[in-house]
Amino acid sequence: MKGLLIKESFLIWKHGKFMIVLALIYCVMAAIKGGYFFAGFSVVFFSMLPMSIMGMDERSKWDHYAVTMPYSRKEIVLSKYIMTFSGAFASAVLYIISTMIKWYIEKTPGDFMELLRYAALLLALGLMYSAINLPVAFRFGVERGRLWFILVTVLVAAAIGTIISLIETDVSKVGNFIISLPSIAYIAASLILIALSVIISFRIFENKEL
Amino acid sequence: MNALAIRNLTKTYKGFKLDNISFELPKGCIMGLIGENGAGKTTTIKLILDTIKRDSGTIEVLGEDNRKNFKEKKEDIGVVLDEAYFPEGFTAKNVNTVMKNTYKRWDQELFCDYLNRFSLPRDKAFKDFSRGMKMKLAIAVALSHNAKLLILDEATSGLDPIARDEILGIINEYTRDEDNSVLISSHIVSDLEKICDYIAFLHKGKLVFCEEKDVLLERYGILKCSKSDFAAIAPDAIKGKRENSYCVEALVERAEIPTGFSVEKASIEDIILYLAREVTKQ
Repeated sequence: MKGLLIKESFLIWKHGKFMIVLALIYCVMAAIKGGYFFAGFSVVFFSMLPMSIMGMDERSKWDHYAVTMPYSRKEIVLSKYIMTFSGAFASAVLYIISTMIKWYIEKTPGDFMELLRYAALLLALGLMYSAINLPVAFRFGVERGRLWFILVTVLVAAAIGTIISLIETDVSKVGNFIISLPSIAYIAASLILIALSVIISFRIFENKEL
Repeated sequence: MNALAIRNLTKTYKGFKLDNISFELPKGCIMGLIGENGAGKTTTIKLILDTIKRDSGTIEVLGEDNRKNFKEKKEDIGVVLDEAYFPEGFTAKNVNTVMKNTYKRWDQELFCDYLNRFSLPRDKAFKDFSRGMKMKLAIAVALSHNAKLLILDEATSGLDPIARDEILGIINEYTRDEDNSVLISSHIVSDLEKICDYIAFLHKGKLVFCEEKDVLLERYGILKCSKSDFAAIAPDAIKGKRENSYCVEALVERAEIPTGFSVEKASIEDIILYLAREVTKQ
């Protein structure tokens, strides 16, 4: 699988520089301004990189070629998940580093455990994003997969909104509840979701005729 | 030992069926898979490479079922598809790095030799290559990991005659090692006639014949005669015919033709065209 990962990193380096710079900017903004908005963007940008690479693979029909090489289909699928995991992890680490630099410059040290908790939430967010997106991309292709993702996101958001309004709870209370969960809960939830996602992607890709 | 042994292979799509085909490619030989567009050549190759699932039949590649331990077996197979599917931004240098970490027996020196021989630039982006250069790069990769079986799917189509001739020369050179075998599909019959030991002819998903090229050339001939003379020919000897109001031109089995008739040499293209027409009539 080493060759596949090298190929992915070459492509990310060649075509994803702009997205990496944007993700870095968002990461620094998140550290300077605080809050989840910029940090969330940073993670999503990093997690989107493997999707963009998959789009390029689709255009060049790389997968048709890769299956003729000494790789199993599972390895081809796993290489995408490893890149995704690396992207989300890099984003979380960058968020920690940039926040600590900010603390150092401003000479106002914050709560390190709290920072780790935020970083864990970011990591979980990145993994969940990919856990949902990758099987859809393997099944429908990246372009059609994006449409499906938007559709599913809108439906899920509408369903959550409806449920919240039915039980007459303030949205911020739900948000606060999620944030108050221990970081291990985010990570565990995202890892379970990733495991399910990998199994589904294996099944989809094993049966795909290339 | 056979490099390939295919028995009763069937694959059905909506509107197309690869129907119960069987053939063997002996080790050390070149087999040309000929057929019109849509005849089933690519489907056959995809089934051999197990990138699509067969409905029934068996496929042995280098002595083993291609569903068992095929990941390891793919080390021994060099593949060139109808297009070179490298990522657009890749350079030959990038390809070398990826393949070095893909194939256990990757021979970097040999790959560089091929790059020099094909005059392929090392740092130019793949998207800026001509089709000929792209296919040459794909062939360089297929030949640089000491593969025992080379599978080429329409690798020469769309190339100019000089590039095609160069590629055919390299394929010929590759089989000087008698452990190496080649399956090459094309609809350019003249290319295959130049290099192949065996010809397998697919037509509308059916295998019309799979035979040694020299046997085909020896067995068949073109008979040109008047209609009255043609009436003396045994129907079993006639494999296909074209007639106008004055004369008949037919593909015949040389051995069945009475002495006194002049039978010209048939090319593989003649044989295929006549036989395809007959199969279509049936």
